Amino acid sequence: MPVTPLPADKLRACCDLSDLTFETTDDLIGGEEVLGQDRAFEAIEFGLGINNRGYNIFVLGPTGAGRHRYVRRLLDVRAAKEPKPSDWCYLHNFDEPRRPKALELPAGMGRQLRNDMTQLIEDLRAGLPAVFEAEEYRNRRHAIEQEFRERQEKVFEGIQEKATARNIALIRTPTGLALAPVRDDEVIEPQEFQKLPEEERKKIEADIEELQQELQQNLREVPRWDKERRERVRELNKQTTRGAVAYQIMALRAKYMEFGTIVAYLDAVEKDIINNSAQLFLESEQETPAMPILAALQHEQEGPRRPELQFRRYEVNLLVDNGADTNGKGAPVYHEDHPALPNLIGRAEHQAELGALLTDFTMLRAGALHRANGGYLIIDARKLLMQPYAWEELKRTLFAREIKIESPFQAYVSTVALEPEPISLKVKVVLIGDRELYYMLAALDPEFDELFKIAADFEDDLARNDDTVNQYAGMVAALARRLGVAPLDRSAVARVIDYSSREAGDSEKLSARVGTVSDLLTEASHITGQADRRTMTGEDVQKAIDLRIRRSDRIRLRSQEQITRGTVLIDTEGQRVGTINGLSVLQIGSYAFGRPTRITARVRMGRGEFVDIEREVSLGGPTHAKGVLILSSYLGAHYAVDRPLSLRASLVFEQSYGGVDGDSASSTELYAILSALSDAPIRQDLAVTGSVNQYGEVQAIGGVNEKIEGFFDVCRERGLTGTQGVLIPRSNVKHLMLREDVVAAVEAGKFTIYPIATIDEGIETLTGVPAGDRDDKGQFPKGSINALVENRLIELADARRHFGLPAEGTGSG
Amino acid sequence: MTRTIRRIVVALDDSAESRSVLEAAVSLAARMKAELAGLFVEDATLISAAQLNFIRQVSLSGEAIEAMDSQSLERSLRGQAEAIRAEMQRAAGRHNLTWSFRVARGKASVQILAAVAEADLVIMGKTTPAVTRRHHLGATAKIVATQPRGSILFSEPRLRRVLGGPGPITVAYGQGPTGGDVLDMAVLLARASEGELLMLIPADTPDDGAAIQRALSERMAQESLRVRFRRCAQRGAAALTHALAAQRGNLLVIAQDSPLLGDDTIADLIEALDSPVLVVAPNGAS
Repeated sequence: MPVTPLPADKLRACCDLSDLTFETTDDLIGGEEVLGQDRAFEAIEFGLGINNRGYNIFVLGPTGAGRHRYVRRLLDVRAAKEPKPSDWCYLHNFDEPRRPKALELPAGMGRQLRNDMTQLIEDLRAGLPAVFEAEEYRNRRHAIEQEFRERQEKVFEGIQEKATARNIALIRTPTGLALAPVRDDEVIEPQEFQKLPEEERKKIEADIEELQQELQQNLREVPRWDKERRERVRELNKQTTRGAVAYQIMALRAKYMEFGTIVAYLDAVEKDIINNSAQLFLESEQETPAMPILAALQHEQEGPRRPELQFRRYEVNLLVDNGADTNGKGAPVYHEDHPALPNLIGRAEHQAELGALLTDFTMLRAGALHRANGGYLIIDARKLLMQPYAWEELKRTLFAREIKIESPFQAYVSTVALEPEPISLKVKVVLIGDRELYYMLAALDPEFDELFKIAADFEDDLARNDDTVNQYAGMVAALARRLGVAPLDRSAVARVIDYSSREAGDSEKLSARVGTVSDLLTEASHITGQADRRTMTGEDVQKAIDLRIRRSDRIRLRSQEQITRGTVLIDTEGQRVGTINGLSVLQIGSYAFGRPTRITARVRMGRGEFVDIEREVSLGGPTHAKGVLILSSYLGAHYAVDRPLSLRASLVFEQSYGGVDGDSASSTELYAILSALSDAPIRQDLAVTGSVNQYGEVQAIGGVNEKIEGFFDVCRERGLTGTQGVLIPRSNVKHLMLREDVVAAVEAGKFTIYPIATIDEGIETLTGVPAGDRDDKGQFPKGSINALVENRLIELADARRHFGLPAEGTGSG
Repeated sequence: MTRTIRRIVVALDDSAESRSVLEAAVSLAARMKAELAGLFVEDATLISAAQLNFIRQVSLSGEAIEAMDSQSLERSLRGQAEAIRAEMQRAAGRHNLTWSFRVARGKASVQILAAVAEADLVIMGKTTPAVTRRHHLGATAKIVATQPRGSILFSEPRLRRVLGGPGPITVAYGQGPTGGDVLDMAVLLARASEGELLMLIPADTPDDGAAIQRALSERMAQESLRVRFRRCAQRGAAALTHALAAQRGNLLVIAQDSPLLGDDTIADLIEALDSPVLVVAPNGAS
């Protein structure tokens, strides 16, 4: 029974303008930007409600489905109702400087403490020098210095006087001190000295030796005296500082008396300031060495002092400031766009100084986990996995429930590095990624399930019905407002909705990929603006779609050109045995298009072999091979089942060099073999798509719209004859969202779409010969395709058997 | 006023003080656009001592006593000279100065006084490397100060510059034979420092002071400088020190025989003051 072609109204779902009860999208208020994701929403809400460890959320789904936007909005609303988490600071550890101390404070107090400490140091820097410049201090200091200076002077002058009395001079050499005999204030020349009586010479030498011993003894004492002097000065400095510092710190201690950790810190600060006051607060403070030469040596060894750096230890490194107004009202929601390891767990910055990289607790910087602590952290899963060490460190941190700032190389390189005290962590992490990533992590990482117990799976599409169409219109309106594009009139909204169905590849569905619609609105609005109109029309939307295709279809045009110029052999008229037009889809970036491919089959006697030439040369994928095996099974089970299948069939995609996969051509290949076996020619003005099962039922395939349009474009280029058309699986009819020009051609009777359910329907349509059903005796009607095929297979089996018999006149014996 | 400073000699040794003096000299030469000549004196006393084979030197730590031999001493002195020469080269290079450097051997005071003949100004540190610090003024500086020739600036090692401080250039005016030279030098420095000139006038009565001030005002009218006057009735180093401190003067220009010294010597004044002192010798002495 001939197959009834599809009427034009089955080829495309068209939005009925009368269903849209608005003039422009400006009339639509309160639309949601994300539709049809109820299950995902429930999952997210569920995950957010559980505060136990591991109840982090992985939001999976297609790109452009509005996952980020929805998650952000949901979290913002939820977080606003939650309390602000603590501030976190890092402080200098006076006992162990390389292990900075972490300090948790109520929100806003970190900033207070930081400002108070800054003010304290400023006050001390202003006030303490005055204390040190006071007459009392200066006099006491001077007395100490003088005492020690005099002690030294006395000793050395004593030596000098003794030397002078014996006509000996104390002189300075480049590396020390020496004693030499003098006469008239001049050192005696060697010749003069030799002229002296031996007794006198010996006396001089003995005097010098004696003085030398005394000098050496006293020089040895100098460092001890100097140390003693420094200690006395240090004690004086402590006494001087103690009063001033105690007064300043007392006020702070009273202010923070409820916070034991701050009070302990202030105690440590006070002790440190008192111990180091003079060196810290007096820029000119240089402890005067006893001898000038020692001063020179000290300067050379230590270099100039940098007092500014020494005050850093009293700073408060406010790592997380939740008191700031800019951080919103409730718990933080932080989206880390660049989840590199340092951006995630924080880092210690370094400062280059004299070729070395130096750091301290003031250079510790917060990461996303610090900022989101007490709230929510959103990360793009793909970006996270692309960053070295980031995923492992995130897992480790979530397991440990504390953030530890350390370099990834710290474990491998034995340099002295900061080891800041870890900060306790309570955060809900929301990873957003595509499905492949989710399934990959779930399959390969045993820890993944422990940490991301909630999966929120966003749909690719939603059902198209009256309700959803109206909701979709509301979504388009909301998108238009957010994007700031021209408002859409009804025709424009209708066009967008139809486009959405086409994107979904299903006339009964709407695409959930909001991102694609956003781009379309932006582009269409640009066209509206160019036309100097304020409202976007359906034509604007269509033009935007056309332009989008035009921007992407260079390859399609080249492919089609090769067919129309006869380089790639595709017939669109006439009939051929064993030759059929198959249809394939090429995906280039986000653009997909269909094109016809000639498939041919040749048969001969054999042993039931089906040679898939694509597979033989490694151009065919496993799914394609599967399709070929299925069709061979169909042949073997459908015809001459009581005889061995005695043919050898070869199948090939002609002029295909880029590889083939998928089973959408398996029915096409079967038609070609049936034609070859029955010798019934196939119409070349038809193209075919559809997979087949072992029972000869034609099954749905993907890309049906692109495939039909691909063949239509070739036919239109050559001129539509009215007989041309495409055979598609009947189960694909609901997916039809064909271009308007294709629909128009069908409506005008210039092109035909045949919905095919079985191989028999298909072969009848292609050959014009009935397929034929078996009668009561199990025979196919004479002249039918099935009869012709079966007869040919019987012939081949018989012939094969004949070849297997022994030749006449030969035998054993 | 026609006096200019085209060449400055700076006396150097290996001490830390000397490096400060070098910085001050470089800074002054740059301001005056003068050529700078470094003079490193190898102490003859030291060299003579090294020739006596029984002389030993005691290290500053007191831990070692070792022989002094001439060769190693000469090597050390050459090393010191080279180090200070390199430092001078760097400092002069920073200011794009014309500079030279030479090494002389002998008594430091003799060599410095001899250098006066070849320079418009000699700069030396107030202190020299000494065993003790009891005296602010070093032995060499003391000898040079008592036998001045030409213009000698005794730099204060604490200050790494001569000009450009917050206070005025101060001149101890005197009507003696060097009065004009002193004033010329002070004007030169004040102009180079783009600062104020403070003139200390020795006058027992206000009338006397006013008369001198009038005369000086007329003379200074053409110099386009900010000039202040202060009468000094007291004489002596202490009075001058007090006056300078009260006016926050940062450099004193004074004649070697200034009447303001009273009974004190110029060495006493240099010793007492914490600021640099430029001593101008009387005519005929240079």
